[in-house]
Amino acid sequence: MEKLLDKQIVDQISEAFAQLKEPVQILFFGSIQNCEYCAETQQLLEEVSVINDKVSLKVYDIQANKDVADKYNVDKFPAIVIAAKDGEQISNLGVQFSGVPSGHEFATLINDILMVSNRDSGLSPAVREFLKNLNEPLLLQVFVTPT
Amino acid sequence: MIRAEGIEATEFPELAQEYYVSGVPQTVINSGAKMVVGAVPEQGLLTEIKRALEK
Repeated sequence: MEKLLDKQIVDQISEAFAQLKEPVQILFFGSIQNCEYCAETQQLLEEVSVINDKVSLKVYDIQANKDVADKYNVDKFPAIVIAAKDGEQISNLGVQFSGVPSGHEFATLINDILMVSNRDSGLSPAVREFLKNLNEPLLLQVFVTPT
Repeated sequence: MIRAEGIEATEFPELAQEYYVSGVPQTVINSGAKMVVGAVPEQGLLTEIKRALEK
């Protein structure tokens, strides 16, 4: 199959990934049926994850692996979860994307990987303090379009 | 406790319609408790989160 990422893009990502600190586990959830963008999203993630050893990919089917999907609060497909990996331990940091991350969102995906690898949200001390004391669930959904 | 989900609006039109997404980015806090259209700086988002949680 033809590559989605050309050499120039791969080189750019490779350069950005040189700053990766800790391992990152990407979880992809797709569906064999009724999914226009699953194959493309999976291929994109495969091409990204081979660029650096610190990034690994697990591929799941949303129906066959419903238990895993539920564990990661995944209810759409394609879906991408960017989690922290420490040895065999995978920690869900609540960072996910639903749909194919193309256009601007591809940069968001790369930045999310870097952020998770650094184990640092980059938020200000005041915001961190507020969120640390949060005692109820918070769901932030950001709708975007592929431009 | 905290979940952040980027959603490709054109791939999930029903959900986008549910939240009346007309411009992007649009941030929906706790399934519609609060919504913000356009980019939100960190402090602005914190204010909106606080308002959403007060509901």
